[in-house]
Amino acid sequence: MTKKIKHVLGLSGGKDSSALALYVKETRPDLDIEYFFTDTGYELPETNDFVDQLEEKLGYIHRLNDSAQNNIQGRGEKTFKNLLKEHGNYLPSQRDRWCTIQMKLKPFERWVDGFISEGYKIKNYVGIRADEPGRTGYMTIEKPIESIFPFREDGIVKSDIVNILQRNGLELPEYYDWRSRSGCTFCFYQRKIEWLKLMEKHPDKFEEAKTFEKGEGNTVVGEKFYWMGQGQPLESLENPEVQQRILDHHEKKVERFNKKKRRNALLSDSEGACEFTDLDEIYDEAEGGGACVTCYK
Amino acid sequence: MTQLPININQRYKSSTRIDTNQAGFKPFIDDFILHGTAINILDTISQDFAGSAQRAYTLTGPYGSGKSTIALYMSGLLSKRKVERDYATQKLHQAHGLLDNFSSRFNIKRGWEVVKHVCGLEAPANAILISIYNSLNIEFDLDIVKAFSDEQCLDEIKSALSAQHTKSDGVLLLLDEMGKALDYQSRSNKDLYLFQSLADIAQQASIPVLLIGFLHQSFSDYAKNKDVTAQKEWAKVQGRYRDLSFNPSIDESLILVGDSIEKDAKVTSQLESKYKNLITHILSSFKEQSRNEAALITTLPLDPLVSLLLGPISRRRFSQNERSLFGFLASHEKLGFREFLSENYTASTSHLELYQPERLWDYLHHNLHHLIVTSPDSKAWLEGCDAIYRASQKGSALHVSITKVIALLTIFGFQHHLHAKKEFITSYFLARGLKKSVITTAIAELESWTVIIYRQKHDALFVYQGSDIDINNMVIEQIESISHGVDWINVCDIPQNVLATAHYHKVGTMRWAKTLLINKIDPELITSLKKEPLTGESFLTFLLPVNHEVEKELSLIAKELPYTAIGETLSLEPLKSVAIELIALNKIEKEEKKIAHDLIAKSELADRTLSAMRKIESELNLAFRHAKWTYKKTTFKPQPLPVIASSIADDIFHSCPAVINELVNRSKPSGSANSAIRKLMYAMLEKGNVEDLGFNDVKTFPPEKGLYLSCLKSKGWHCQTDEGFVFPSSWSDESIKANPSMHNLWQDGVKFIESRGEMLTIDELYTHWMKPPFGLTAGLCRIYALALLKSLEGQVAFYDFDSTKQFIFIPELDEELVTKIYKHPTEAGVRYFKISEIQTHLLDTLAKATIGSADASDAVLAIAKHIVKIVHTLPAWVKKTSGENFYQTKGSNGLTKEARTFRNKVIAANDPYRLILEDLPTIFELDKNDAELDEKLAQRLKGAIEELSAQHDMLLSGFKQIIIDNLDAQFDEELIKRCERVASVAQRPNVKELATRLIKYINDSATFELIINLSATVPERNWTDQHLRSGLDELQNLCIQFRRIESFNNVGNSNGESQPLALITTDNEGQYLEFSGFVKSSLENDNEVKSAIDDITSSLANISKEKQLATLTSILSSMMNQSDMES
Repeated sequence: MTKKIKHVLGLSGGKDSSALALYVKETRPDLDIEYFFTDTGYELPETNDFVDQLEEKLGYIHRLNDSAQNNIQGRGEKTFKNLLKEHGNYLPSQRDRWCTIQMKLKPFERWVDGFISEGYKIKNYVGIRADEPGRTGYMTIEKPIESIFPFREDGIVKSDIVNILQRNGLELPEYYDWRSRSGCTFCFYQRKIEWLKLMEKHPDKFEEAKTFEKGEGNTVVGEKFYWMGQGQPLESLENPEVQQRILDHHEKKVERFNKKKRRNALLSDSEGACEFTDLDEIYDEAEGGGACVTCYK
Repeated sequence: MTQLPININQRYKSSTRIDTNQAGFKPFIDDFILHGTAINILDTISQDFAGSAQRAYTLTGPYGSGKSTIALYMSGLLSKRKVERDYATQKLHQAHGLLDNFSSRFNIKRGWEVVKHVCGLEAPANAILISIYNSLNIEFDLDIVKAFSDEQCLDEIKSALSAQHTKSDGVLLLLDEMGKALDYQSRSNKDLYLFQSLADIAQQASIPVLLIGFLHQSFSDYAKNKDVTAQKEWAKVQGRYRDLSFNPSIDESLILVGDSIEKDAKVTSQLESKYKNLITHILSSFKEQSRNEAALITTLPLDPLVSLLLGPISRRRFSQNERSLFGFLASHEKLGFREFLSENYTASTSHLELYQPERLWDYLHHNLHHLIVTSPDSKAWLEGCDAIYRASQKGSALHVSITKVIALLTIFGFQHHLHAKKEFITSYFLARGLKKSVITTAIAELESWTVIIYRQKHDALFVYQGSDIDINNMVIEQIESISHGVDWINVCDIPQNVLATAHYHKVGTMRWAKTLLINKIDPELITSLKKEPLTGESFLTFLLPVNHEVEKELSLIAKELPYTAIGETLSLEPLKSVAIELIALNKIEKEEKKIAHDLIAKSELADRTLSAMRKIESELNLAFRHAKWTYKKTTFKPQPLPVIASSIADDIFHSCPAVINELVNRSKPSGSANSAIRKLMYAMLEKGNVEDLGFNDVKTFPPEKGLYLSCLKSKGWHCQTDEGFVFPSSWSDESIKANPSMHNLWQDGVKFIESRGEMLTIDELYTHWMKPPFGLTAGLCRIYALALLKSLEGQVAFYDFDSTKQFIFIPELDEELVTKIYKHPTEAGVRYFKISEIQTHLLDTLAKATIGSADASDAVLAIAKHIVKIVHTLPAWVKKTSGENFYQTKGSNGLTKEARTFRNKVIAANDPYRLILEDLPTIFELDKNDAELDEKLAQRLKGAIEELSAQHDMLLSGFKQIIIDNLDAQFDEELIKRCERVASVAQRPNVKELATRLIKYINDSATFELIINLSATVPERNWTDQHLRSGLDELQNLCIQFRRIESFNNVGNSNGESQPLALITTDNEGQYLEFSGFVKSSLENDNEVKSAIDDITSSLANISKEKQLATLTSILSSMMNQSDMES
């Protein structure tokens, strides 16, 4: 009797999970993998484009979005807008990441529950790299789900990622030019420089984030909730002086980073300047600034 | 020297030891004051001797009360020397009635032998026996006697005493300081059997024996640290001894005091006349003391009140063992009597001042406060202090004086009915020359401020009792309730740091051992004890178990504890009792809420707590100092802990090189030392090949130069060799001989890095060296680690944990890395690459295969760089391609997996050593120890590189083949002509462009890649497998269009009347066939044509479309001319 096993692989729209999907396809061509993308409905257009490109390479990708959750097209009850109201206009924050739970974890659970009820064991492929020893998926779900870390098993590190994408005809998702992560347009893990870039690249998304700060039908008197933390409304980024300060600060950080960066002794020519993919290192933080995109573990 | 008007009789200053005061017997008897208490004791003993069998006595009295003098006096009375005996007996005249009785009761004929023994902290039985032998002139062997057991001693004592019966009337056995012997028994956990037996011997001896012991407190008090049964046992033993209390009364004290103050006649009379009145006043208030008038006169210039209080004060607990009456009189303490005399009674001046009670108070406060606050008198004392403080805040000097007098009387006078009656205070101060009204007002004010209070019962004034809390009682109660089963160890957790001094002087490294007292063995403790000590931490634990059970348990695991010395102690009872007291005090502080609101109680509690903590500390010190220490089966003879610590440090850190340099040989060098270390390290980096690292300026001597000379040059780390000045990679015999321990350190470092087999951080090296057996300090680690790395240059690879948070290979040591070695050793990495013989061949072979020459100096890096360069300069798409074969070129099978893996590894590589020595063999699945590794690897590597390099050409030829096949042409002049034709007529831009680019390619004015760009729709740098795959199809498509255009063109050279007709198809072998012909334009509407169409259409109507096409193709091709493709 063979066990019924369902292999699933979550795409976040970011480089690591995408590279993982391509890498697993390259190295484990016999596996029949179900790809999924938990679409919050507030993804960057670049992310959606990239996921489309991936779908071309990988085959069908399940989109776990709000309507799919309800099984009714177009009802959209679990949109962020509605969830925010449910949470009393209390914006998600590092202390209370209800957004991840509601918009990433729960849809995933609901989706795999279908397989589990059919008697499948789930093998979940997670894109944590060999050079991220400290990182583990920390959202624990009590389900028959086994996490598999092919990158870790095969010693794949950060510098391999771009190579994997490129040899599959993909480049880094475009947003890496100005942002260090995939995820919602209004992700509160964004650094100020990233908010600034969002304002520049997608002014409409920036305005949308601003409206969430106000909150629909928000009657709270006194302290409001802001994405960037207490007393720092997004509006404050519209002040040119503030913008300049953030830019200068960023410049300085980048300069420091480049100064301390060792060039690869094996390459004769100097490498290019830093990219936004290095943002976490630039700011001297763990990858994702602790915002580990849910790895469904 | 001028005679001072008043002197203190010096003989009272020091106490009497019964065994030494042999000389000057007469003066002793002369000075001896036979007071009532003394008479009583002599009377009692002599009466007992005559009338009962009681032969053993203890004389209990406070220190300095004169117990020993009476012992000496008694020995005189019984002396074998008649002169002495008579002289002493004369003195008895002072004691009425005793003179005759004493001699008759003892019935002295020959006199008694006197054995005077002073007990010390040694085994009492043996010591007493030795004293007896000495006194009785019996010869003995000291060593033998010392080895006797208690029983043997007792037997010997018995026989020695009995042997005397022919020579003497009896033996007087005086045991001074008997308390010490009891302490010894108590500390060494022995019972009192010895003293019981001694009493028995005295009683049963065949010769009269009198045994008198001198104590400060009763037997049971010495046993108070023991449990209840032991205490009972001790009390029972004391029953064998008749206890005589030796406690001189106030009167006697006065006599003693008066006797010790020597005044010249003039002063005596002056004082007497001046203060007679005052004395009368005082005595009128204290009726009971009236008989002491004469005595009080002799004690002047002490204020009579002071004289009266001295006796009681000298008997308080706080003065016991510390101060005596005579201590006060004779010492030079501040505010003491001697100071007073020297201020007021010099040879030239004397105003006949009195030593007043205020001064006495100040004396007590200044010198004894710390003792009083922890004595039973503390409460009353603190209340007194408080009252005086309040009086001083609100009142005048008189208020303070009155309060001090009342305080003294309250604290010390009460038990002796010396009360501060109002009239007394008034008359006393009156007599001191103050106005009555002033005194009365002051007293009234003090009462109204509740500084003092009037008590009906005693009709006297007392210091206001500010506190209702009796801390002393509370402590006693608490101690009783907790003394059993309490874990008293916790409060003894005061680790002492023991410096291994001799070790420090030897190797220059300070190391500390710590002390620890335990009463149980928990696994956590054991784990912490097993931990290897790093320099800067305590390296050794002096572990003292409180009891034998733990001791035994410990001895079982002792060999697992290489950093622990285990102690063995006789008894920790004194420590335990003070620890329990502290626990009691802490408990009281926590539990008794009311103390928080009671300033006096609070301060008393705080004082007592502080004192208990101090006592614990000193007891702990004692305990650790006196314990017997064992380390690794060696038991040390008793010696100071630092000595033991040093000897153990020598053992643990036997490989520690000696560096006598206080600047850097420490765990935390100073700022300036650190700066010197840094400068030295940079000099090592930059001027390693220069003599003395370039510190050759004789005029300056910066600290880093000193470091270089003392730590590196003189220790063999940097010297001149055949290769010039270097950090030698192998040490000369001479150098090894001169610095064996340094060479050992260097060798160990090499081994440590070498044996790891992978990268290690410099921090790990530091940690290794900071552990035994080296125990290098952090300061030295930096210098020697860099020296070691310098000596290993060429054999190791260096890594830097850079801002991208990865360890990156760097080609050589540089300033940045040296900074990290100094400051962030966790971010600097080193790896030893042992180049085996196989690998040497490999490198040679690879060098030949890649860079074309063997024996390049930086072979590994050069080879790796070369390989990386080859891969990086591959066309962009080759670096990305998955290698699938999407064009059907014969003999080509895409990219092999091996070549692909090789390419991926090389692209990601940043470490030449890993790439060459590890990754390459792995990629090609070769055994690193294969003898033919070099040949095989070189071959495979070459293969992979060739394969990769060939990819682009294969791609090009694939695309070219499409053109060759589809256009049925070679890239030659002919094709150019065709292209020119097509280019001139083609409508579609892509076909036109293809033709143009083909021309350029054939003319060598453009590359073939441009043609692929056209079909792939992206420039070469963006080619991906996908682009190329669709590009291939597109090129095929373009070729067909090219052909079509050509065909029309071939037939189309006509006037406007006819239309060209072309048919393109292939034959069975796939060869293109073209047919052409012309049709007149006007024939379109010709009737014949029209009807023929109808006929054919109808005849074809019933067959399939395929057949219809086949029919027409066949008809057409036969009707048309086949064109010649080559033409």
